[in-house]
Amino acid sequence: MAKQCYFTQNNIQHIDYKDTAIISKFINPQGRIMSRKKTGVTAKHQRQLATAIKRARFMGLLPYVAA
Amino acid sequence: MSIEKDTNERQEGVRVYELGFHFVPTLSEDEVAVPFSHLKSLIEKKGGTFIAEGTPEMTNLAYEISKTVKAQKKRYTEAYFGWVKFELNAEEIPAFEKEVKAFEPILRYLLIATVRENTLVGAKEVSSKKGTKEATEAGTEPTEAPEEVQVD
Repeated sequence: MAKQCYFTQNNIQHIDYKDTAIISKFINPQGRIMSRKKTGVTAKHQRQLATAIKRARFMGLLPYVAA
Repeated sequence: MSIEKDTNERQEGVRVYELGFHFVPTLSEDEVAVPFSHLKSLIEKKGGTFIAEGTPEMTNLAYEISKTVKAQKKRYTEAYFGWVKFELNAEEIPAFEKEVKAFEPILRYLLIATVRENTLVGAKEVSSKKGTKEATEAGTEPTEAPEEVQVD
């Protein structure tokens, strides 16, 4: 069965960069953004997610490169 | 009807913004309220109205952030992270950002255009919703079990 979008399932319309607990689920152990193939997130949410992760990185809430 | 009213009442060029910021950790827990209220007064002076805020809290940074003050580079691994969501005329934003940039206690800031609705969900809320789903699924299991007994 196809994996469903986390954000659609939980009725999340806007992805906030401050929600590190949620968006950190979508980065891999190196700190890179996971691909849509892996996340199963809709295209719209994946774009929002990428922006949110990049903003969180800039603010030092998420790592650019995790050790 | 109500939508038309809303657009008429709303001033033109007014948008919703959010300022996220880190204050330097050299401030004490009590002192943090002072620069925070100063930031809010900057918004008030420009004619902005507040929608929501997150009071500055000490957080560990994912990487070292440095700030140069008077030819001295200082590195920080933790800071007070806070945010304010407010409504302000778009024309005031460049001047406002300049003031924020010049504000000394700020280690780093991020000014973004956003929406009025609350965007902060929190993983706890999501996981608790999932928990209730699992509970209802578990509730259906016992009804299936007796059927098996009947077959035997």
